Amino acid sequence: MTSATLSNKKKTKLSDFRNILIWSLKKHKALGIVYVSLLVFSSPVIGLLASLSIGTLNNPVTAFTFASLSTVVTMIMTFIISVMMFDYLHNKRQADVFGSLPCTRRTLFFSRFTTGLAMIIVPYIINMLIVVLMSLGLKAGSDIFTVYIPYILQVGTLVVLSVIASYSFTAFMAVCCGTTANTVLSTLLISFAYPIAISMLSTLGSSMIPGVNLHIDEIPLISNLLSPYGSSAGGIFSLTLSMIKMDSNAVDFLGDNWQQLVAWAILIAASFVGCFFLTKKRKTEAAQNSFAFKAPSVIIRAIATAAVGLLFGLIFTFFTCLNIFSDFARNENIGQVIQNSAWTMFAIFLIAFVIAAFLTHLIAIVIFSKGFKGFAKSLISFAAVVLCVCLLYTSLAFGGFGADKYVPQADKVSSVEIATTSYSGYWFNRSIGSLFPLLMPQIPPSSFDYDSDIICTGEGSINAATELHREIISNLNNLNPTPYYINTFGEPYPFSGASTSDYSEFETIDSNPPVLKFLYHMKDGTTVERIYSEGYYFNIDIISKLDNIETLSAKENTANLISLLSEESGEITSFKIIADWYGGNDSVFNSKNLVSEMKKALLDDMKSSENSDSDSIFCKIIVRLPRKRQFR
Amino acid sequence: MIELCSVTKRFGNLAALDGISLKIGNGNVLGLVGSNGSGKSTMLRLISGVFEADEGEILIDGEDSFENTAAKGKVFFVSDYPYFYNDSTVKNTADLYKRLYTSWSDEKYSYLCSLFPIHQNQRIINMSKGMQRQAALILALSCCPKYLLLDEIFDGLDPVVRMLVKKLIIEDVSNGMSVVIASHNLRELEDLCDHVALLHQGKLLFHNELDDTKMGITKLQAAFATPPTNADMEQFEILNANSHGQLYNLIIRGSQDEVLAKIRTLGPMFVEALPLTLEEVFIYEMEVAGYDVSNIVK
Repeated sequence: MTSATLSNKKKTKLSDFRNILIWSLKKHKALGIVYVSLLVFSSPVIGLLASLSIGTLNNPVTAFTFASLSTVVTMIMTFIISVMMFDYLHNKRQADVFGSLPCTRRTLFFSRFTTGLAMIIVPYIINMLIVVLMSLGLKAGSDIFTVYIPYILQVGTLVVLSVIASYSFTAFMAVCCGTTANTVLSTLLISFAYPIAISMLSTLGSSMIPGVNLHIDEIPLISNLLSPYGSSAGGIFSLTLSMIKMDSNAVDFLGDNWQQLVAWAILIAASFVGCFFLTKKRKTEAAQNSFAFKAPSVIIRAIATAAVGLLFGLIFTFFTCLNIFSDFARNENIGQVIQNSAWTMFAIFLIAFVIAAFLTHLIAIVIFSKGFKGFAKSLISFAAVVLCVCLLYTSLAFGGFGADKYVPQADKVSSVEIATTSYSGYWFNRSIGSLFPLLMPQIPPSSFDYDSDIICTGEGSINAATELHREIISNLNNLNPTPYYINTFGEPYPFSGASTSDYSEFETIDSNPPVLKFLYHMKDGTTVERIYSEGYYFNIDIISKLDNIETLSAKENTANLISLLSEESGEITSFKIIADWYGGNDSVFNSKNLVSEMKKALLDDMKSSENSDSDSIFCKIIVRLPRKRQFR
Repeated sequence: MIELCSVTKRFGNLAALDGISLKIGNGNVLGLVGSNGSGKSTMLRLISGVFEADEGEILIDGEDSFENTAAKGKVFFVSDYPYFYNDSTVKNTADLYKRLYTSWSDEKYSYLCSLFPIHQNQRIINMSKGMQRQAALILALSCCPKYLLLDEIFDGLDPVVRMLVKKLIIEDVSNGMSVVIASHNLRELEDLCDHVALLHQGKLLFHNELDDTKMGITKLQAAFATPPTNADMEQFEILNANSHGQLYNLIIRGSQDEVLAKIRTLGPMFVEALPLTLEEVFIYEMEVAGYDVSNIVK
């Protein structure tokens, strides 16, 4: 009978892939139905119910529920499904079944990979299309094609990408781990510990090197690279927020979040390549061990210990510096000596770091290994982390490879923004920053600091700005402050802590400002930012220097604006008057004559600006230019 | 044919299999016996491609078996604790095997389902241990593999089902299937196997035809008026000996005729060859290999 019934089916890797895929999809049918139900309920159904409850069917509510609830459901299901799909790697009995199947391990893995991804993404996309169709069916306004449908499609694209990134990352962790519990723990631990570690590194660098604000925690490409779930959670929040704030302007999430998209793309590619190679290298007998490979366990522990260690190291050093030694310092007693002792501060940092990091390391070992197995050996990697942090601290203490003394060369600078704060901690805001896009159209609008006090675009003012900066650095050299330590000079380091407020317009300073910021836009497209607190320039007359720079820049900027407002320039095509009082209506003017008259009026106003009082204007005028540039 | 050539498998510092070489011919039934932790299950996992050998190679019909889809398609492995998902039924699990084993036979599946008292749509996880093994066997035999690897398959089966399983295996073996059964149930193996391999601490103590194995050891009972001296007994390779007065029970390596002829030269009052079970062969060989049986069973 056996030989008579042998099939002649041709078996290829592709047919194996397809067969496992189909079987797995059937196998997880129930979970799929649950997901689809939750998805449909979370977006179109709740959207409709909410719309009905407020008496009218409308698009914002549907779009809001789609961006928030559907995304939450999808991200939770992504985690659950990704863990479920690869649990066959973590159970010895399952490994016997799947390992003996007549297919390669790679085929098996990627068919399961595709199954899970299809289970999450296909229903999501179908649901998105339903929401789009529903939006079209609702009482559509003129903005349906310009605002709501682009919004839904862009949200959908972002969510799909974040799902693929999160799913791929979990799959990679599943390959690296020996148990499902460790997969879950590792994924969550990295998702939370990695951004904390980056943030702490950024804080450490910023608080030690005079003037430097690293901002690396604000660069999604770096800070979110290993945190797909964290970035997705952040994404959901910002998407929801953007829906609440959305006015009649079209959104450009994809353009605004390009760094995040690149971070996800890198993570997807890295996870995929990692899975591709490691599935073949992974030993089946690793099932139910802590980890299948040593390196990932070491890296995970290193990230976690570094994150927690740095966090506590910084907290204790800040407290020590701010609360204890600063009191001594004011009284000019031994505290001053201690505070100025960089190595004492380093010792405080290091002790706090080591204690917190060691406890984290210990907990990680106990949780991952279910005991103390391998603890002694793991101390080598722990020592390596401590050593790396010590080396980093030392390099920062001696200026971070010259970052403390760096002043950009004037001929390589495209423009400089200079900002100061008042004693109440607010940035002075003369609204001049909003003119910057107009003055420097080659610089992306997103890189402007609209709180700038002075904007230097011409050679003279740029030279003067770099000269002032160099003078501060020279002053720093004279103070001979190295090795630096956290909160050098005993001043609470400003970071970017100063807030923006229009109230600052009513404040004046007649002595050195407490905080001074230089923001250089380089000709190669990069930016360099340095922020100094008063301690660095207490013996320099900053006010007169800034006055000089401001005079130079005002002349240069006025010349640029005058050329833009001249009759010959055709760049300005319309303007909008926004009523700046309650109940006022905005007005847009496109008429050539009116635009021409407005230009002339503005030109006259600028020419006689010395005698005008801009604070007495009761309306804002937005002049709309091609390429979406505008000034007020 | 399955060939293991100097195969070694280590788990950390422990060599679960240490330089094993073995051939399993077509249409053979090999009983894999050995002490706990001797490497029986590891050997089955290596042959089925679950594990990769650290050294040596495993050939299935001349092809390296690891990650070789064609070679793996000829093998079906039923582990000692067959795994089923919580919602697995015989029917939906059959769907997976049907898709992956080109030799799957629907007719045989229906036939086997009619033989075993199992509902195709019942959740396997809710079945008894014996029923779960029956489910695993239905699926395994329906795949019509050329090589069937069974780990402790008789565990939990009632005597009637054991007979049925043996009958089905013998049927398939007569059609050319080879079977490797790792088991501690030597009584069942004795009925089924034509070859036996004994493993101990990762090493292969012997691999022989079952009859040859038994032929190579003689169990006898003899009575002597004058007890034989140590010098008299030195000519025998005695695996086990005990005496009650003048009556001696001896297990001696060598063929029955040869051993009896030599014993008769010692002038016994009475001598008789007794039937030898596989279990006795196992125990005495293991004792020779240093397995401290007498102390363990004290």
